[in-house]
Amino acid sequence: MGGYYKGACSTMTGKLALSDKVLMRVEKSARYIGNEIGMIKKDPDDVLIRFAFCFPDVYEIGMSHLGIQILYEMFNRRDDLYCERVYSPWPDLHRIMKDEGIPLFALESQDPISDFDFLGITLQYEMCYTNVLQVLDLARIPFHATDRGEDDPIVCGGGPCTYNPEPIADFFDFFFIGEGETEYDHIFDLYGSMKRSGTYSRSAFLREVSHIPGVYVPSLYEVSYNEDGTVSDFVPKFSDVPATVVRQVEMDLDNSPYPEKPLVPYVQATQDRVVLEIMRGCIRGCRFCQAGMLYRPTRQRNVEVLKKYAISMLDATGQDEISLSSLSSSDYEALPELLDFLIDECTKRKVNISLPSLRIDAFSLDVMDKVADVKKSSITFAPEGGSQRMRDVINKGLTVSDILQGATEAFKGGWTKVKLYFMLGLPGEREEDMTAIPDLADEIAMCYYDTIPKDQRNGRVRVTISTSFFVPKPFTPFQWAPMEEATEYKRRAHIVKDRMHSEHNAKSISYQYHEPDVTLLEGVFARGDRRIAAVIEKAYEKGCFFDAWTEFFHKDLWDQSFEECGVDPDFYTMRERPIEEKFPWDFIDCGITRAFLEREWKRSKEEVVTPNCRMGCSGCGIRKYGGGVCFEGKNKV
Amino acid sequence: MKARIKFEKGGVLRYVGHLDMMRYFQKAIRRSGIPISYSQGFHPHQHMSFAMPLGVGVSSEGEYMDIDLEEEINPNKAVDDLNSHMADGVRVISFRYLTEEDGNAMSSVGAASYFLYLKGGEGLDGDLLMSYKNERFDGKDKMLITKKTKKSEREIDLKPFVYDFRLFELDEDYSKKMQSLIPDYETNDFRLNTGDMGIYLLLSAGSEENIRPDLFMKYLTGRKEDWEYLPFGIHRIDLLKKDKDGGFVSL
Ligand code: SF4
Repeated sequence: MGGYYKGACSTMTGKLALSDKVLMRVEKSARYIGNEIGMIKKDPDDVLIRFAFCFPDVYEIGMSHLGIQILYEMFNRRDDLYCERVYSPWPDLHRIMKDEGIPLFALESQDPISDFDFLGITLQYEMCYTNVLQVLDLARIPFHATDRGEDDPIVCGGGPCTYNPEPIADFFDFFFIGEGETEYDHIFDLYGSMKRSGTYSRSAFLREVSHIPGVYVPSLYEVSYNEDGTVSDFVPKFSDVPATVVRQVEMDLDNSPYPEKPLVPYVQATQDRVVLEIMRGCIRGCRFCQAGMLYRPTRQRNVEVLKKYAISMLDATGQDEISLSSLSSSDYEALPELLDFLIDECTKRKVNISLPSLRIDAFSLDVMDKVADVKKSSITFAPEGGSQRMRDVINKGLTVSDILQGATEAFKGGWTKVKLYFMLGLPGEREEDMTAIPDLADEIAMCYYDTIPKDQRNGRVRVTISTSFFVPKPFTPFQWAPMEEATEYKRRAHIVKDRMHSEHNAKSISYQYHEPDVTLLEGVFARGDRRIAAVIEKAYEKGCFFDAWTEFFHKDLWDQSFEECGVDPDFYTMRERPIEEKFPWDFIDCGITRAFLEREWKRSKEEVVTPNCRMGCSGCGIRKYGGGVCFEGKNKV
Repeated sequence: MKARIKFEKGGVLRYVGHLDMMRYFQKAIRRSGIPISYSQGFHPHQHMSFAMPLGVGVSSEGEYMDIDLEEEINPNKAVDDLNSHMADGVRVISFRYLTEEDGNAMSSVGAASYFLYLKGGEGLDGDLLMSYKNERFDGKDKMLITKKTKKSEREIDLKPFVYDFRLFELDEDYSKKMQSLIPDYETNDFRLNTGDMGIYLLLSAGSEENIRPDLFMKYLTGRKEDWEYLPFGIHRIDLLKKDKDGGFVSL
């Protein structure tokens, strides 16, 4: 062959797992060709360990996820390992692969997943569980860990859903609980040394790996249930296997791996920009928010490190947008300095800056005025609860006067669009909390007409309300809370809607809400136990996958699956759980203590707010990690 | 200051569609530091325009785009800088400054030349092509076919828009070149070996009358329905414009 394609690596010879005939028949075939700018090329023959990293959703979604890119970078720093990527084939390709017997492959080498040592699956939301089965199915790996042979890849999981991995525990050889930066090197070292010394067998490895902090090997534990269906006992089968799995946290973010040359997809990703993770964790302690509890303590990245990352990522990718990522960017202390730098640099480079999760105040409005067109952009508030009472219940420290003050400033600055995010179905919600939602929207609209004189108005103000239905999650103060029936969720949405129509400024307000069916299923998965696995398997057999996509969600098939498996979904969602109930996820130590969560659940019922970590420490238990916000300012010892 | 970039596209990048290709080049230009000029406003965009979209699965050795520059740069260096930021499968061939007469790429396209290779499907081989050519092309005054677009359906006569159509046997050089541009040819059973029969086409292109090679092939084979999977592969050789004497020259 001519000198055009250099090198011996298979990716350069244009090897593709799918034939031209297949690629020409599917939508967006570039999802499956790999070869993106930033893709790491290695010769698979040169490494001992092959790791396929999977985000079980479509390429455009998976490629937008920062976590994978961090670990892709970190894993590939090892000479003895090649980490590749795999995503869920879209239903059109799925059909063809099933019909024609084409095995699932990784993008880099285009080799079948069954050739790999590990299949690592990130679990970012519960509604991807059937896609996990799709991936195993197409990869020809037995669904149940216990049915796998020596030649099957080790299937491991990570991500937020592992804080209750029980509904999918049967499908995984092990889970890693916590931040992957901390222990994966030890896992690979162990695997490598067992392989090299010839002591490797699947069961011997799983037994050994269970000793690594943060690793949970489901097959090494026995669960028993009480007559009422709750968990009675959860014990390791062997004395060397730890009874409690402790979440691992990266305490040195400034020196941990970061993708300074991130991948640049051809197909437009959902997040088509470079991402700067400025901080992990959140100081606020909203009681509904699992991320806010799980990722404690709040850890900030050094601003100089972030400046360096921003430059190298923009240089390496040529992206025209950069986005800050954190749970609450306004709480990042060096934000003014970072933004000054970015505005300067990005103006020079004609790069857009996107700033999600900023609290609306004079500072943020000033910044937004510099980076976006006020006429086109909107300001966003997420009060989550409509009434002050409800905001006290959920510990959302945002008052009506904060909102109105922010809105007034924004209107003066020229903004005319406001977005409001709320949740319905929060614990103890009353009708007055629901009607308070459109009332607040109306007050904001009123504020516009009061602030801006008629002759200076740029048309009507537009206030958009969005509501989602609340799903109680493990390791939050609301893990004991019941959910509502689908009909009740609908009724509540209609209360909001009817009230909105009667508001004085109804014409300036619009309202959207999500359908409740998916919410209830998510609720079952979030707090389910091992008995849910059979239902997921049944639903997949019936054709359910891509459940996170409304157009592919089939409620009837799920209903049938629960019934055929004899599992009552209401058991997991409709009960207020007694305070002493043993939860399926109790074997995980995520850092915050059960006592803190119980205290918070009680305080929420008393409508008492708890200060954020910077106002004062509430003793959640995270201090033992020895860093982050627990040792800043006032919290210093 | 305007410049025209010519590039080729092959390998696995054949499956990257036109819009994605535009985004790919926007990023490649930023990476390589070419001083392209931008529009005003909050979301500035690059002054860049492609001569003609290239379909998914189609390879090419003659794609063009025009860019506006903030300052003059050395053309050879521009080619090198761009090529050091390309993915495998795309290669910049040339970079030249435009003169008054050039006009913009998109509006000056008048014709496109193609090489079609056989994919081994539907019994389409050299003999069959030869007989089709005999029957439906040589000496014909009219070549009627229904041309469907998103909006309309009309019968047209292809005759005045097919400037050239020839069958030829691939020689060793051409075969080698195509094989390196389409390295997966073997697994796909594409007929790109020395001695295989290929098709050369020069068709009207651009705003006046755009004739796609598959439309011509539909006429030639007498097929009524569109193919679900084309039994031939398309490779664009070049985009051309009319010169003063009524002939065609490369863009
Ligand atoms: S220990 Fe205190 S400061 Fe640290 S995360 Fe918990 S509440 Fe916040």
